[in-house]
Amino acid sequence: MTRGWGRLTPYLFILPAAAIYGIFLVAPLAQTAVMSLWSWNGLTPDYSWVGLDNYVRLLTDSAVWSAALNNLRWVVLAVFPILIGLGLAVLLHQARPAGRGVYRALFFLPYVLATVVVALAWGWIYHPTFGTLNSALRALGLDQLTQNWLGDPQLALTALATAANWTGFGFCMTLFLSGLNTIDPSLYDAAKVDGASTWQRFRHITLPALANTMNAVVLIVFINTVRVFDIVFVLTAGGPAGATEVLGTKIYRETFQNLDIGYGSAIAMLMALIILLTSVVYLRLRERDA
Amino acid sequence: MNRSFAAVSTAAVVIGLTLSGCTGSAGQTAAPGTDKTIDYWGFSGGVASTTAKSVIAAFEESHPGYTVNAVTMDTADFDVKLPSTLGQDSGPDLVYTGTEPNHLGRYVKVGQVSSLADVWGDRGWDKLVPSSQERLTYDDTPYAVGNELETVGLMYNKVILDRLGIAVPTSLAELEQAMDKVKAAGDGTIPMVLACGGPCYAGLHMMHALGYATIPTATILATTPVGTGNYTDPGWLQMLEKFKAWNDTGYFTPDASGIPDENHTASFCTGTTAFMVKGPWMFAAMAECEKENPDKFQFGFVGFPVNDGMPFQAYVGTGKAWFLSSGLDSDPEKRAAVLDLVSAFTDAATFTSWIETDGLFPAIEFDPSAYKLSDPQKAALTIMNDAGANGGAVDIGFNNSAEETQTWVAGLQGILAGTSTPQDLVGNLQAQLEKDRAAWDAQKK
Repeated sequence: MTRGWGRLTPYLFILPAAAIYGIFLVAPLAQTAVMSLWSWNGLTPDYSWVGLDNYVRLLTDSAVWSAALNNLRWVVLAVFPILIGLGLAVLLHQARPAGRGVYRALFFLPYVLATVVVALAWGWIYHPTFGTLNSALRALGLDQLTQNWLGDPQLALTALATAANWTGFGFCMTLFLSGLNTIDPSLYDAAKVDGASTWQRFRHITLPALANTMNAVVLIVFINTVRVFDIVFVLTAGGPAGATEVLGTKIYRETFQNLDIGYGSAIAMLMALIILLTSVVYLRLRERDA
Repeated sequence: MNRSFAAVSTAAVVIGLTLSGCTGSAGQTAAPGTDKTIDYWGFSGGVASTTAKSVIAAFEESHPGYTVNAVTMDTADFDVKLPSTLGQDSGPDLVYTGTEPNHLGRYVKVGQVSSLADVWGDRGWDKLVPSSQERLTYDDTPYAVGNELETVGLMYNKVILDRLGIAVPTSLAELEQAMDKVKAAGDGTIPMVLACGGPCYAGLHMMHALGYATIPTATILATTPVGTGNYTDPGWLQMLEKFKAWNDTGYFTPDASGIPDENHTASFCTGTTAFMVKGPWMFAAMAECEKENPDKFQFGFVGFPVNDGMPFQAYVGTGKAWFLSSGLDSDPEKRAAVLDLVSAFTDAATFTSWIETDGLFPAIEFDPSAYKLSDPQKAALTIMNDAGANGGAVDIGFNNSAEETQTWVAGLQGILAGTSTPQDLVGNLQAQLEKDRAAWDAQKK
């Protein structure tokens, strides 16, 4: 009897966490999946079963694919905070400048700011008339480079991604720094003795040793990028002319403005699927390479 | 091991029950007459204004035990929170929001709003101005009590007009000549402020004003899911071409598609722009601007001029309204208390405060001579009188579906940014109108 209870004890310890996970993550996800098969306006108790109609509509809705493409563009732009974070981490780790802790805190600071605060600040930076960016360009005599940063459909998405990336590089740097601290310094000493250049030490010691950290950073940045919503909502609300509409704002629009809960849920499921599949494929590829 | 199992399992059961809301207290409906907290969600005019605050305080004093939990919300908040909570215990008892079918209408349609037919005459709400009563009545049943009688007109900065020798325009042609003069002055003054970033409310107001200035009211009123008009009918394309021409000529704020709505007013207030299109809800803010910046800004307001040969017409309507959750129908005592609160808001004794302190017009007829009105307020009342039967309560782009508003915003931003044309927008609007008509027909069946 005791042995039986003993086998159960570990599961009971994880039960509270599993319950929280189940209630707040699995259940809503399952509910969203179920709702995506129904037509519902969110107001009345009347549901109607539509099966896969919402998914068929989604496949032919150019606005959804345009939003997904914007997410993809954003993912590409998210490479920059990873590279900048990696560069800064290596620099702080190798050069060990005085006040290293202060630099770390300063670089990490944007990440702890509320996204709405960041969005409002960048809204003023990008303001076409009074904004810091255009004012600085004018002061430098570069008037021809001033732009309607958030109002030009060709530029707006890049401008938004830049603002979002500004908050992300410090986070990447912190993760890379913790990864760098786990590398045995004797490896670098041995490589130096063997005549390895700085680049060779970075390429053959640092990068391989950071593989796991890199996996985590890439996945976290990717997931945050695909589900981006708040900075877009505050700065452009998906405009101008839909140029910054991403899946997150499209879900909001369909669900809460157009009151098409079923369709909004179908788009949410698409987003979840993109994140899940990409993450699995990425991890598998990384495992294979390792 | 048994003791540890007991401890762990007890903890798990307690946590599980707590998380699933099965502890016996959550989610239960209060017995009628026992819940004395009135949850009131509203736009700031009905919650945070001086009049609203004093009415709520007086109500709490005259209704011992009752507390008003007043929360200011904006449109985005309402969009997310109201659909799933109105009519439920978790939602508000009283709401103060827009009167458009997009707001009030959609909740009435699904039974989330309490009918006011039983108290309409007794509470004196049959004295609301006729257009307000019409706006808030569905299938001959009144559902909401109007407030903030509004219009959209032409605001101007007297300092700039005097400096450049420009008379207040009385026709659309004169307005264009005035904006030409402002441009020609070459001192950096912008003729017409426009901000169309984000939700582009200012762009929509500009478009409303131009619409009423160039398209007959009857045509505008017909271009709805229940009407017979189309966006391809004469008028709409021409209006949008004028909007584009004004932008191309440089009448509007440069880069308007990238300027957030909240910056719209600032540029007018600081004396860098000659004209702005807005309504009485901005009067209090404009008075503050005058105080802050008297040398550069003096505020004037008139009806937005219309095309030569057209009668004067304008958007005139009830801007906001109070309505009760249908959840109150099962608690007559609390419903009566909430109705008392609405009665207090609409009592003639509050009119002085609404009009003189908050600069907002009640939707119940009042004698203007009994109140100290500012010049802009007098002008707003003149617009409402002059528009008469040509005053449309259907404000383009707000009255039809949410999707249509999104089409308007995307189209206007595209025109301002030079990436789409008026013809594109007319095509998209017509396509959306046809979808809305099909949805409307399906709903009727």
